[in-house]
Amino acid sequence: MARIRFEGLEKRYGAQPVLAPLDLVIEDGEFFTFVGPSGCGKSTLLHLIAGIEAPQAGAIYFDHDRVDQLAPGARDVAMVFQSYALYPHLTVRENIAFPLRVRRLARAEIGREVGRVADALGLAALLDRKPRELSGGQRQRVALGRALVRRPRVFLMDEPLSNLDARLRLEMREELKRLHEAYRVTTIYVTHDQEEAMALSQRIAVLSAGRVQQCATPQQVYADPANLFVAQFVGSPPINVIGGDAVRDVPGAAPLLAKHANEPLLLGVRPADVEVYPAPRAGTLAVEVTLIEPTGSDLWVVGRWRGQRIKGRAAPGARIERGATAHFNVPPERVYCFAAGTGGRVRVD
Amino acid sequence: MRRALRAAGMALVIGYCLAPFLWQVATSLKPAAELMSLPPLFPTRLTFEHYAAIFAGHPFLRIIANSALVAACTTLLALAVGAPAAFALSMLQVRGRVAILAGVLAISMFPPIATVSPLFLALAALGLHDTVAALIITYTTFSLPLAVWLLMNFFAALPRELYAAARVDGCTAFGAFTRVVLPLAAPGLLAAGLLTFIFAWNEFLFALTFTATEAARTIPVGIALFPGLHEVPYGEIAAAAVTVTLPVVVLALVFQRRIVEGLTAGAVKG
Repeated sequence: MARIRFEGLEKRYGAQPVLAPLDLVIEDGEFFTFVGPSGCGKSTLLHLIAGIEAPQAGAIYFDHDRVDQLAPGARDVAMVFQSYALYPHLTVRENIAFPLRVRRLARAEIGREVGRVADALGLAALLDRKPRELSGGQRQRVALGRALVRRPRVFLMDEPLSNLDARLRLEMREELKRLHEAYRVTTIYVTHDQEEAMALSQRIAVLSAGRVQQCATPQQVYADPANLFVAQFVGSPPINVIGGDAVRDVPGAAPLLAKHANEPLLLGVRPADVEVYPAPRAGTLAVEVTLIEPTGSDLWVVGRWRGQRIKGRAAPGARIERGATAHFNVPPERVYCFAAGTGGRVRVD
Repeated sequence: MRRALRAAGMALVIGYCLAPFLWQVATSLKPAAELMSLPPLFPTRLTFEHYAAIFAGHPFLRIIANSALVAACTTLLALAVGAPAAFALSMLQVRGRVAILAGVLAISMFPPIATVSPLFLALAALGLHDTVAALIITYTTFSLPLAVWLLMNFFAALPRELYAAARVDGCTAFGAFTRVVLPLAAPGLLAAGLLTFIFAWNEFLFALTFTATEAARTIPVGIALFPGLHEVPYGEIAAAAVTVTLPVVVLALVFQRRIVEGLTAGAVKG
């Protein structure tokens, strides 16, 4: 277990910057997630921590030990790969035992540790199978087992759930959380799925183009996004963004607009905050409904209002029809404001 | 109609490939009297006298043993040197990689005849004239480029994450090579090894130049130098050729599937 510190960590491929200088501390025992679209540098960062790639500049510390010059095997990290990277020529037992064998542990001890991990992950019956005889979820468990068996200082996970089907992904997500609570190993998790990041992590860092856009708890990132990118990346369904002349007619926007009169603004409001009613109410917007998405617990309504697409939530049984007019309530206190040029957050205060 | 055409085409190709060999088989089984006349195409009476003659009249076993030793050692050496080289070139960051690859390719394009004299002088100076060691060294250098290229393609087709996983799990680069990369590349090793073996088994030019006696003479040279007093001993030559072709055919048949896997590695996902 270790506290991890990055100091000006930087990576380029040729002239192409992949990771802008990164300064960040991840606390001992924390479940920390880097989330961002593909190509944002998050997998590269994991490779730098594991030692699979070398940085151009900067340092990585585990507690007080500088590790960025060490060979991968000397860093005492364990990694779960997106493809699982199980050794195809070895059985499940041999796969899980592999890191211990490399470290020349006694045979009896290896057997005991493998048994312990196999029991914890429900793999005891599969120990003599080869990876190709396993289902996706089972392979995932073996990959976790191979990482867990060592009790490493740091756990690295590179999109470990993205090859699973939706249902299994939710199951494994819960299991990951349970495992982290049981073992309390500092875990760095990488995903492009913001929902996964939110559900698992104590803190998340939203990455884009090699830069951390915001680093905070999931709740802070959701409720108080640092900029337009974060606001759009986090939250499902994605946030409504209203621009152009229409911003003037968004309820509660007037004082903001007066303050930033010579700067074009974008307004954002989360669909979950926008209530949709079949009948008009005070302060609602009249919106032409273009699409309805019932999910059982919610009824999502997509409409056009002054040339802008806007999505809101109605009660599951609400009588709302496509082509008709519905009434969207945009609560002023839930509206985020961004500078149209930079995407930076513009605060009210 | 199409099936008939296809069958005819296949028969043509198979016949083209196998006819010389079948001719040798037929010749090796013919009585001496029938050797120089055409009909009969096939022996009227099967005889094994030529086979008996090659083992009785010549140091043929010694020559076969030489060939086996040379081919086996060449194969092992070429794989022992070629596999780590191919691994480094395909999976590690090697400085001057392009220059090394160009060098490997250039070596494989050297016409052997151009190097015979200098190699002869060098080997003679080393006191290796007429030894199997001379052949093993020469064959290894000449078969390495092919082995390296073949194995490189094979290693490059392995998922890089497997190597990364092995490193993170605590292996050194060489440990990851021996524990993970090599076992997975077994079909590639087999293919490269077999091609090297066949090359060394069949090579004639160097073997003729660097050997003088039965101490190091290999099969192709041995057969070519079969002594005939008044005539060329066609029957014995054919018998010897058939005898030494059989092991190669058997090897190829046994490993056929693995070789095809090895040669098409990466083209089709395993």
